[in-house]
Amino acid sequence: MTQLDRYSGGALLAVALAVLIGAAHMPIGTPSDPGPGLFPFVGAILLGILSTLLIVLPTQAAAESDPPAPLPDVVKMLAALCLYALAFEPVGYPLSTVGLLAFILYENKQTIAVILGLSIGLSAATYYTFAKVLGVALPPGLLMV
Amino acid sequence: MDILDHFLLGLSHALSWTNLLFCFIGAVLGTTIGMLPGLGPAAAIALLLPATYAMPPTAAIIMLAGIYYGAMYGGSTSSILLNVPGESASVVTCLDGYRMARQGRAGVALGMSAFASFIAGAFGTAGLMLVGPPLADFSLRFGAAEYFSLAVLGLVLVTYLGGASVLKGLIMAVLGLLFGTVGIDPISAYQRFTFGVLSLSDGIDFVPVAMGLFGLGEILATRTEGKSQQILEARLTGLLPTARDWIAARWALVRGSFVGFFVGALPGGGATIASFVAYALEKRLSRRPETFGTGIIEGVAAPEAANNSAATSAFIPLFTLGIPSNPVTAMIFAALLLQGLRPGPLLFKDNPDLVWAVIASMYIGNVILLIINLPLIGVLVQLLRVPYGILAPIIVAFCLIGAYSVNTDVANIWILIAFGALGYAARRLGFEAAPLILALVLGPLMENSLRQALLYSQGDLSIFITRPISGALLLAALAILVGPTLMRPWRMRKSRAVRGEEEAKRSFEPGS
Repeated sequence: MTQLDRYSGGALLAVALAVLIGAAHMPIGTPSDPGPGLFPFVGAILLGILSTLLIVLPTQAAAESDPPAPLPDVVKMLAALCLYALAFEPVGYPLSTVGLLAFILYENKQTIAVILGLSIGLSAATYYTFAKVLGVALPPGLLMV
Repeated sequence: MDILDHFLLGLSHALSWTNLLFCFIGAVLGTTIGMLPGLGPAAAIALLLPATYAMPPTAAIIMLAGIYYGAMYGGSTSSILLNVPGESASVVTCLDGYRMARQGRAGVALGMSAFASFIAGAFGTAGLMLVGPPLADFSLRFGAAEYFSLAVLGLVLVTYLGGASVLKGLIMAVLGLLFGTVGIDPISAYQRFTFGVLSLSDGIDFVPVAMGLFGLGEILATRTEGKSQQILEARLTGLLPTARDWIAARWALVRGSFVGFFVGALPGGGATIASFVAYALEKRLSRRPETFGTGIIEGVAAPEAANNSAATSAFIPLFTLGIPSNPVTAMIFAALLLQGLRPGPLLFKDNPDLVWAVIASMYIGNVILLIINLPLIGVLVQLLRVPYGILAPIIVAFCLIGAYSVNTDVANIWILIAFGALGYAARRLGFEAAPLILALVLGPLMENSLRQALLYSQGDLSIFITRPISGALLLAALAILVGPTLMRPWRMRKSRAVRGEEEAKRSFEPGS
């Protein structure tokens, strides 16, 4: 865990630096009139100190019960979710959700019947419940025509 | 006797067929809304607000109150079964509830959640009757300095949510505070870290963050077939808590109810903060803090008791001072205004039948909720028999729709994805998500209180220690921080003595 902690400590230090630079461009104010930059400025310094401690001090490893999911699978899933977010408004909730769910089910090695049945059924059921019954303004997209 | 007379008057109103029916409708709607991720009780009440205009005032408020505390019952269900918080106050229930479900103890967790909600709901209602007005007066003494000190105390407790490493817990808490600064600064209207994105002007909403870190993060970390699927398919044992569970959870129930009642009654407090504080306090006081987060019953009982107790005590500032303490009571405040009633000190005097009928209906509503929730446990736990390959897309669909439903903004889906990735990374690197979430909630309260207090005192920092309540809260935070270090020699001596006694006993046992 120590090596990984050093890497995450380094990444967090970079985040702290970025926030510090961002906060330094905001009005910090005075003790009697603190500005909007004060809190993020102090927070960034605190994050910097804690990240440095993470790099320097060894920490106790967290209990890990599951084997890690392979990184390529995680990247594929995140890419599918990003595509979904891009398609959400132009394509609409029902169709984009069918696509995403079908992809996840395919990745989880389900049969064609399950993929089609569950992706279409779940998308339709959630759309009906949230948009029609509860009045949430889900975009119908291409189905509006 | 005055209180008893008023309560009996309220009970007679609450037991009318119309009020009973609306109490039932509110409880059922609340449970359902609570189970559905994203659409919290505030949004549900907002949707129903126009419909209440045509209803009798007492029935309308009874129904809306039922939705609020009913959501606290239902919110834990998806936290326990899917690791997706149904309601913001149920986030912390994920920590141990979901682990219990994976160990085949979903029924026990759901049962304890229902009983804890019932016990704390009844406790909160009794408190509302007996100490409501004096507690409301006390909460009025909370100014900016006191709220800052309260947030500091909450953040000190956060370090106990951080799993094995206090350092990593602190890092996540500071990250949460920094995420809390995104958006328009409420004092100067300055845009902070919004990068020109209009959706970020209102800040980062708590719901997609919690769903990303818990629900989506979990899916990303365990979505392939493997060990996790075998655990989910483990045999489901007992559907209700056993005597041993009750013994283990008894103090967590009591403390959770008290903490929830106090935090809920503070303007700006609320069920979410109450549930986190109750969990952290329980972990802090436990003899085995390392077992929290591994699936123990206390980790479900404390937050569930706290959020229900807080949902009830949130009515104290509303009824006695006319101050809504959170978005849900703000909606109920609006419903009272719609009915031509003015919440505040005169409400008890001018409309005792309404106020006391609502209070009495809370007892009835809690009984209704227990009756409808307990038989559901057997049905709900069957969800865990669904193979993980099929359950995963269902969870993803609920996370996405839940995040979008918050304010029908696609930016929340992006926030969900980003925090899902962060949740995955946090799991892999041994960071706990809970401190980040509580810090995100407490951050704006802490920053605004700090700046207001400094403005008020003209930059004099002593305001935080010279005001008695603020000073006491900071002293409590300090005691929690340095207490364990001071107590270490005494504890070591005690554990050495216990070990010595055990060794002596063993040496006298036959055959040794």
